[in-house]
Amino acid sequence: MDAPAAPPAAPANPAGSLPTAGRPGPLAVLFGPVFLKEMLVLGRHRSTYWTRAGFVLLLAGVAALVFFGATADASRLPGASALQTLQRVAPLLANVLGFLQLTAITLVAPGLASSAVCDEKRARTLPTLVTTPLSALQIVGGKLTARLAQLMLLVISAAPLLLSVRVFGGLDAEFVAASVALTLGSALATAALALLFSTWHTRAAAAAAFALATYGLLTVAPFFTAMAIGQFRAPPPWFVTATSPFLCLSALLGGGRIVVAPGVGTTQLWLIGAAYQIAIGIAAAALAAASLRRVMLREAAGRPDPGGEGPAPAAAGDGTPAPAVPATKKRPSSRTLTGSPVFWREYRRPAVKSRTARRTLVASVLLGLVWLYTHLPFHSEELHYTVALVSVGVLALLNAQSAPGAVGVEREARTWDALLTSRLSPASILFAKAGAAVARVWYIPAYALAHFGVAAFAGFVHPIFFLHLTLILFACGLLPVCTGLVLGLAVRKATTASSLNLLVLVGLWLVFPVLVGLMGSLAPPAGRHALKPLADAGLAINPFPMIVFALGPALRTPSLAYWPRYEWLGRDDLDPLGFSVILAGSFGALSVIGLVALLVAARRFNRLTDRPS
Amino acid sequence: MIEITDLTHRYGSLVALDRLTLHIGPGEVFGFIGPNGAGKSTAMKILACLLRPTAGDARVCGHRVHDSGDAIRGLVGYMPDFLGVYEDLTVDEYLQFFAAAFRIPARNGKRAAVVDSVLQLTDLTAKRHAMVDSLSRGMQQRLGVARVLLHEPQVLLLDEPASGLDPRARIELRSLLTELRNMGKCIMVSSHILTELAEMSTSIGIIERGTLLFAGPIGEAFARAGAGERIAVTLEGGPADARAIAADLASDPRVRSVAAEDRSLTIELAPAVNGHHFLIEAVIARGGRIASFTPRPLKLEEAFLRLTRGAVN
Ligand SMILES: Nc1ncnc2c1ncn2[C@@H]1O[C@H](COP(=O)(O)OP(=O)(O)OP(=O)(O)O)[C@@H](O)[C@H]1O
Ligand SMILES: [Mg+2]
Repeated sequence: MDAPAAPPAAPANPAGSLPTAGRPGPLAVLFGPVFLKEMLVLGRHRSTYWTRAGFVLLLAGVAALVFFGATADASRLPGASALQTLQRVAPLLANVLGFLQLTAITLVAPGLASSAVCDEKRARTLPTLVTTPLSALQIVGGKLTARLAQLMLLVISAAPLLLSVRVFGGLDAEFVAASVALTLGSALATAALALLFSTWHTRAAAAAAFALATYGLLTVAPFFTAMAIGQFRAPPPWFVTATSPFLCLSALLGGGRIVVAPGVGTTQLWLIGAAYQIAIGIAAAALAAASLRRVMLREAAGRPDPGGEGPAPAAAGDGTPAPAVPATKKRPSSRTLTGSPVFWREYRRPAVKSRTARRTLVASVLLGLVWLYTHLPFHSEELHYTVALVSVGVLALLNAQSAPGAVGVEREARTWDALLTSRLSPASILFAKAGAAVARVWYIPAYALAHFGVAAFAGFVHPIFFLHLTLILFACGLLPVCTGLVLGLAVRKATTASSLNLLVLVGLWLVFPVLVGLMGSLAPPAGRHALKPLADAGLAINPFPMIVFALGPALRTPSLAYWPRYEWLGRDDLDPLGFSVILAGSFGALSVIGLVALLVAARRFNRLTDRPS
Repeated sequence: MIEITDLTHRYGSLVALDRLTLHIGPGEVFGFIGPNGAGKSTAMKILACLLRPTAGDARVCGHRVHDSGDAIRGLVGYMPDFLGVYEDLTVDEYLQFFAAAFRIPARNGKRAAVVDSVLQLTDLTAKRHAMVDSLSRGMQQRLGVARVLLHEPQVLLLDEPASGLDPRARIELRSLLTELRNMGKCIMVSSHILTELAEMSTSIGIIERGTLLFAGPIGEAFARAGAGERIAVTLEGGPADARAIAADLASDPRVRSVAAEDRSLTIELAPAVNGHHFLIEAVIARGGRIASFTPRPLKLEEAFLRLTRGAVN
């Protein structure tokens, strides 16, 4: 009766209200239209299913390896029934799976989330989003929950495996709870960080890399800094240990016997650790929403996208308003192109486009170096090992991550078609890109070689190490570039190609040796003998042990008056020539493999790019 | 210069081009029109050696796309429908890049001279040192045209080159294309702006759902579409008079249709009827007093609308 008399309810979204005017409830923030759209799109991507299958296969594969590895000796023991063996192995298996899951999810999450905003920027759909009543928080929330849902599905798809382990008993319920909580917390943190970086970057691969690096800073750096401050003598206080989910999980595994966190119980430790992860996630998501709002407004203002990079210049500390960005950016003059055009352009392609990010990066690297050189004396072996191992590792990772982008970025920016209708031959395109990718990171080998040059001159290292390091650096710089370019050609999405390329390296330098080792422990003596060359080869192409093999003698015999004697495969008196030949052979082979892969890709270029001829 | 025979392309199960057969000679500006998704871009990509056709044959200047990609790339200038630009280069550097990619030597300032001339031709000299990604859409489009002209190609494949251009730039593009045509180049242009295409093309092709509906001179397209000339007549009398006269005229075999609105009539003549005198006489004979008499030239839109069905692939 009185219904018509009641004042008309205010419309949910009065006409003319600004996008930010509505205040969506928490459910609308997390599961709004953006969530639904993202779920739909992700469900359509084939890569989603590949990731899922790959994840389960990885876990199952490792579980099988651990199982057979651990039961190999037991099976030969008389009297132990299969069930008993299983029960003995189950806890080990669960631990390995728990750690593996944590690692894998931490690595997968940024890749999954990094394209969230980059894709919208590239497709120029952000201005359309601005005109809808969706708030930036809703967009970020929806995108984040959609990714998290995918990650949960990953965890769930691996659940049968964990459950089957549990059936065999001996599994600690608290460990399962902790590993799930830490895994999901870590997924939230890395995904939110990737989203944050994707508002600043146009390239998803770059956003993922930055997110991982930042996550590393937030979870690994505190522990090591505290350890270093304590001169590596005492474990750091518990709140430092709690920052790393890996340490929390290990503390639990030790059952408190391994003292990694004095002053707090293991249960509190992992609870606090999970809370820390969630806090990182929430903070990063909030920052991402704020940053996205700014990016959206900038794009909606109709200004051509200035690369979509970096925080807006308004962040100047002194409070003065930032100078307006002119409508067209101009250079005072243009550079003159010399040599191969692809090399020229590729070499100058900025690795990090935002100037702020670039400066931050350079500053933090310099700070790290200053810290390194002030804390470790120049004659200490640790310093030289650190410099050699870290430079090779960083060089390989950096190239592995960025090389696929040399093709992927062009494909995504649609400059690829223009390039493919030019008269450049496939080989000239690929080799120029490879050359430029290697040359672009000249500063890493330059730094490492300068360090050892000085060290040799000062008489701390035998100069022959200079030669060995050059060989290793060259191969470790070149191989990931070649495989990355091949993958970039074969796989459409740059992020996928980058992840696959990283997997190639991990497979070559981590999975392969572990696999051969496990197979060796399984095989009967005759088979073990047959596997030996494979194991030796795996060792010879692995830069990390090889650096140790090469650097140790060079440090022990720094004087030019003597030649260092090298240990190699049970021998301990290999002369420098013999060792150098082994090194040159194995790392030369790696370089040649990379170049041959590139050559094959150049031969099959038209097929890979769908050109008729 | 372009010969396409029974060209078929499928994306999965979707047939984007269905046995397309087409010949375009030198000095021709071929306007390629069709509804969205008709297969225009697909055909151009195949001619530019960017896409492997599923079946059939395509030749550019006698070279088959299947085996002479390199020769074709030297002869063809292809401008994609969506122009990608390198973000971190200036206009000049961008053009230098492609000049080098087309093997124009840097010796004796040859490359610089080529870049200069295309910049001038497309009126971009003032933007020479601007970053490519900060150019407006129309400017980027001009840069795309400039890039295509660098290596003086014999055949130009331009996929919607006029989109995003302002009226002046469009007129300039049209005169540029006319100039290029006079140089004996063969130009294939796709566009949705039909009036413009009608003015610059010597012949047109209409494609729908991957099938070529028509190819030939524009005049023939009208005949094929059965489109006749239109004439607007305004009368001095009232609307009732106009309606009466319209009803009378509609029975004339030379008149295809008549529409009356207020005091004016729009009369469409039957195809191939020339001369207006019979119309004037007929109106006067029926007591109409003509206030104005305006023949309207045929429009490509009409032919397009009649020949295509607007069906989506
Ligand atoms: N990469 C692709 N994968 C699958 N289908 C495609 C692809 N590219 C085009 N198509 C389909 O092929 C058909 C022809 O597309 P094409 O781009 O050639 O049309 P068009 O005539 O250029 O249209 P428009 O006028 O919109 O530019 C369309 O139905 C389109 O959906
Ligand atoms: Mg098109």
